[in-house]
Amino acid sequence: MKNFWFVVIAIFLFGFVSSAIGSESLSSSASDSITQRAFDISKQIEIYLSSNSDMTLEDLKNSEEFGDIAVQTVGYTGYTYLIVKETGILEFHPDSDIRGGSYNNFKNEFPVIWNIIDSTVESEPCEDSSGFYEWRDLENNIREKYTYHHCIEAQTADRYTFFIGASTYLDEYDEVVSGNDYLFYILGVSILIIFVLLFVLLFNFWKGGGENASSGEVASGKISHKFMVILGIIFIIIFIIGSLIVYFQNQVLENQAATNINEVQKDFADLEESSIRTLSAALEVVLQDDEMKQVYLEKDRKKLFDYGQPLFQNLKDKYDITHFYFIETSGVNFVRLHNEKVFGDKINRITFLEAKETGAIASGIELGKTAYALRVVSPYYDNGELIGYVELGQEINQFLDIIRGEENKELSVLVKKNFLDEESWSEYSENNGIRNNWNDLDGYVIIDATSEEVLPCFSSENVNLILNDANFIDYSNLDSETFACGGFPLIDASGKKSGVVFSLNDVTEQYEAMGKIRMVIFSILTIFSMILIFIGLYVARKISRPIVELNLAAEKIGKKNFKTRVNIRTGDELEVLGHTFNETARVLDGMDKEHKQLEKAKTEFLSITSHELRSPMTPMQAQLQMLAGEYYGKLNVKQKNSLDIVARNTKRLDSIIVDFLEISRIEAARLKFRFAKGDPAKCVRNIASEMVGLMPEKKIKITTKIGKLPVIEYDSDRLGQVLRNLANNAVKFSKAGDKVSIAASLKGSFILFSVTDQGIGISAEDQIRLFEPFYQAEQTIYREHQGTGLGLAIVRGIVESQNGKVWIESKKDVGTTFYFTLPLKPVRNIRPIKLLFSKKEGIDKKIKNLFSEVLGPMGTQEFAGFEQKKQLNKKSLISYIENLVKKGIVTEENGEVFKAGILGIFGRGEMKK
Amino acid sequence: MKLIPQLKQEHVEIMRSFASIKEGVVGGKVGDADLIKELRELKNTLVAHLDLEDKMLYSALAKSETVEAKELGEKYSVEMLGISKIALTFFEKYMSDAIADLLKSAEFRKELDGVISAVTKRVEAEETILYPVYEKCCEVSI
Repeated sequence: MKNFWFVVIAIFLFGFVSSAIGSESLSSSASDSITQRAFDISKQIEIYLSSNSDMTLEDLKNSEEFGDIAVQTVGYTGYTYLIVKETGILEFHPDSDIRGGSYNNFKNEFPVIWNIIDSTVESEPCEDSSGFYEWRDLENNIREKYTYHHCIEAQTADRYTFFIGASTYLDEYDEVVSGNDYLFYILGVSILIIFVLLFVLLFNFWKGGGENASSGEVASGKISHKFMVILGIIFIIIFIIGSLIVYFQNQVLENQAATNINEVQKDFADLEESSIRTLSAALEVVLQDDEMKQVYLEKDRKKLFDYGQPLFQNLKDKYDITHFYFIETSGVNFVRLHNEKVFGDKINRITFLEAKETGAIASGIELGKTAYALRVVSPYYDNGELIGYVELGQEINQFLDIIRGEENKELSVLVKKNFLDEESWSEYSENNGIRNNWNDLDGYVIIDATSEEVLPCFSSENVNLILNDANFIDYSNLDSETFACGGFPLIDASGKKSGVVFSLNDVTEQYEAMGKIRMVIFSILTIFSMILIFIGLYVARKISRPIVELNLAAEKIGKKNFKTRVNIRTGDELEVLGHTFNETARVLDGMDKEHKQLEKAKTEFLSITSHELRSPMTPMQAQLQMLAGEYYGKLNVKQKNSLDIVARNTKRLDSIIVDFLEISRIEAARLKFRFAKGDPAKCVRNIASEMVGLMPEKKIKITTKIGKLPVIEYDSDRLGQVLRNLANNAVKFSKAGDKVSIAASLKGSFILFSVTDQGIGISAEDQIRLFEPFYQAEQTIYREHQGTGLGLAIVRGIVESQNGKVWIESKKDVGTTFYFTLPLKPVRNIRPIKLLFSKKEGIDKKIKNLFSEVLGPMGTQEFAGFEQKKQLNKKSLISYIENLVKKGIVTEENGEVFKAGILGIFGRGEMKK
Repeated sequence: MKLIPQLKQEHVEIMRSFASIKEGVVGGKVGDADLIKELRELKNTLVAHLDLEDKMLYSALAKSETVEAKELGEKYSVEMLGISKIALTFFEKYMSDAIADLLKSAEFRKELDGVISAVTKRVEAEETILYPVYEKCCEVSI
C-alpha cells in the first residue's frame, strides 16, 4: 500500500508541478509582452519627438496628441507613464492625482514598485529596469504585476529626457492557463474523491466482505475475483488519471502555443498601430515642409526627387519608411522618392481612394504586386487648396523581424497566388533576397518570411483554418525541431482577409520535456501496475486459498467423505473456521460411523430375522400340504375349513417373509441374479399367459405388444418377478372386462417394458411415494387386495440393481402404465439400493434444492409455502412455474430448467387432477 | 392349495440357495455365519421339499390308475433317493467343518458343483416331465 500512496502523491505533485511550470512559462510570456509594449510606445515617442524637435517639456504637457502617445493601455487595466529622468516627476500619467507628483514621494508610499524603478532613476547613463511585484487590485485581491521601465533616447527642445514605465497584472495575459490551473484543481479534487471512495470500498471489503460473502461466492472463488476486479479498476483509474494528466499537459502546451500566436497577432496589431503613428508623424513633417511644397508645385519631377531624397533617406534609416509617393490630384503617381524610374502610373489603392474621398489621412495594410505594405496617405494642401497627395509606406517584413526579435519563433506570410503576378513577384523576390519560390506551395506563395523553411503545416487546409480564425493548428516537425504551428489572418485596408501570417514557435524543448514526462508517468504506472498485480495476486491467493481449501473439503463432506480435514494455518479467523470445520467433520464422521453401524445392524437384523422366519416356512407348508392332502388321515369339513384358513395365512405370511428377504437382499447388495442368454419376449409371453388364470372371474383381457427384441443375457426369473408383480397389480386393480397390456420394445441400449391397465388411476401425490415400502396408495383397495406393500419396492430394487429405471404414468379413471427398463448388458456388480427409508424426504430435498437453484434465497421461502400447503405435487409446481414465467419473474429459459427439474423428479407422465 | 406351484416355488428357493452358496464360496465374499446359515436353510428346505414330494407327489402317483404315471413316479422316487443321499451326505460332511477350511477345500467346491449339477438336472426333469404328469393324473384341489 505504501507504493500505492507514493504513486498517488507523485501523481498529485506531478499535476501541481506541471501546472506551476505551465504558469511560469506563460508568466514569462506575459512579461515579454509588457516589455515589448514599453518598447513600442517608446519608439512612437521617439518619432514624435524627432518630428517635433522644437517642442519643450511644457509644450508636450500641453499636447493632447503627445499625451495620447505617452499614456497608452497595457493589457486590460495597465498603462504606460512617463517620468522625466532629470526631475523624477511623473509628468505623464493617467491618474491626475499622481500626475505631476515626485518619484521620491511615491517611493515611500509604494516602496515595492519604486524599488524596482530606482535602478533606472539612479542609473547614469539611463538603464532599463524591470521586476515583478504584488499589488492589491480594486477588489482587494492580491495579484502579481510586472513592470518595465525603458529609457527613451529622444529629448525635448529644452533637453529633458524620459523613461517610460509599462505595468499591468500578469494574469491578464494568461487567462487560458488560469483556466487550465482551474481544471488541474478540479482534476486533483476528483482524484482525491475517487481515491477516498476506493479506499472506503477496499476498507469495507477488507473488513466486512468475508462476513457478507455467501457460501456460493466462496464456493466459486469470487472473493479473489472481486479483489482482482477492484485492483483492476484501480489500475484502470490510475491509467486514466495518467492519461488525463498527459492530456492536460498537452492542452497546456497547445494553449501556450495559442497564446503565443495571440501575442504575435497583438504585437502585429500594435506594430501596425505604432507604425501608422510613425508614418503619420513623418507625413506631418513632410506636409509642414513649405519648401518641399514649393518644389512639388513647380512640377519638376527630377528636382522634387533630388530635394526629397535626404528626407526620405533619413526616414528610411531612422524609421524604416520604404515608400514615399507624391501623387497628383488625378491619382497619377508623380514621384516615387523610393524609385525614381517608376512614375506616371495611376494609383488605385484603397488607402489613396479613401484619402481622396474623405479629404483626410487614410491608412492600412495593402497588398501590392509583390508584397504587403503599410501605407499612410494624406491630402496635400497649399493655402487650403488640394494640390495632390503624399503617401508614406513601410513593408511589413519589418514587422516580422521586430516580432520575431531574438525569440525562438519564425513568421511567414502567405498569400493566394491569384492575388499576385508571378513574374513581378519572382523579379521582386530575386531583387530582395527572398529565398522562397513561387512553387514551394500549391495555391499560396510565401511572400515574406523570417525563415526560408517551408514547413508541412503550410498547407491550403491550414490556411483555410486560419482564415476561419483558428489560431493553433498543430505541431510540425522540421529536422529535429518541433514547431507549434498556427497563425492569424492578415486583414488589409479594405477589411478583407487577403493572406495569413503563420507563426511558428519552436517548442522542441517543451515537446521533448512533455515526452519525457509521459515516459516518466507511464513508467511509474507500469511499475506500479506490476507491483499492484503482484500484491493483488499475493493477497488474493492468501485470502482465497484457505477458502478454496474449505470449499473443496466441504464438497467432499457433501459426498459423504467425512474423513476430510483441512489444514489452514493463516493465524486469523480462517484458521478458526478451519478448526471448526475439522471439528464438525469429526462429529459427522462419528455420526456416519454410527449410522453405518445402525444400517448394518438393521440389514443384518432384517436378514437374520427373515431367514429365521423363512426357514420353518417350507416344512410348515409341506406339512400343511400333507394334512390338507389327507396324508395323515381323512378330515371333516370343519377341519378342512380350519386348515384352509391356516394354509392361506401361512401362504400370506410366507409371501411377506419372502418379500422381506428380498428387501434385505436388495439393501445389502446380495440380490441374486442368474444370468443366461435368452429372449426376453418369451418371458413376457409366459407372464401374460400366467396372468390369464389370475382372477378369472374378472374376465380381464391380457394382451401383449412385443417389438423385435434381441437375445440378451438376463435373469428370466427376476424379469418374470418384476413383470408378474406389475401385471398382478394391473389385474387386481382392473375392473371386470378391462384390458391389461404388457409391452416390450427395444430402445437403444435397453429394453423398455410396460404394463398398462384401465384401472382407477393413481394420484400425483401417490405416484411419488408408490415405490416406497408399505406405502398404501388407496387404503381401501389395498385392504381389499391384501397386498404386502413391498411388491413395488422390490420391483424398484430389482430394476435399479440392474441400472434400470422404473416410473409410472397415470390418469385418473383412465388407467395406469408402469414402465421399467432393462439394460442390454447385465450388471453383475450389484450395488445396494436403499428401499426402507422414505423416498419422500429425498424428493422434497431435491425440490427444495431446485427452488434455491432457480429462485435463489427467495426459493427457500417459496418452497416452505408449498410444503405448508401440502402442494408439493407435479401439477401445482408446474402451474406455479408457468405463472412465474408469465409474470416475468423467471425468464423462459430458467422456467424451462425449473420445469425440467420438476419433471425429472416426478416423472413426465400425465398428472392426476 | 395346489401342490405343484408350491413345489416349483421351493425349486426356485433351492436353486437360488445353491447359487448363493456357490457365489459366496467362489467370490470369497461370504462370512462364516452366513454360509453355515445358508447351508442349514438349504438342507431344511431340501429335506422338507423331499418329504413333501415323497409323501404327496410320489404317493399320489403310486396310487394312480395310469400305469405310465405309476411307473414314472416309481422311477423318479428311486432316483430321488439317490440324489437325496448325495445331497444329505454333502451337508452332513461339510456343515460341521470350519468355513475357512471349506473355502480352501477344492474337494468341497467339487462336491458342491456335483450336488448343484445333480439337483439342477433333477429339478428340470421334474418340472418338465414329472409335474405335468402329476397335474394330469393326480392333482386334486385341496
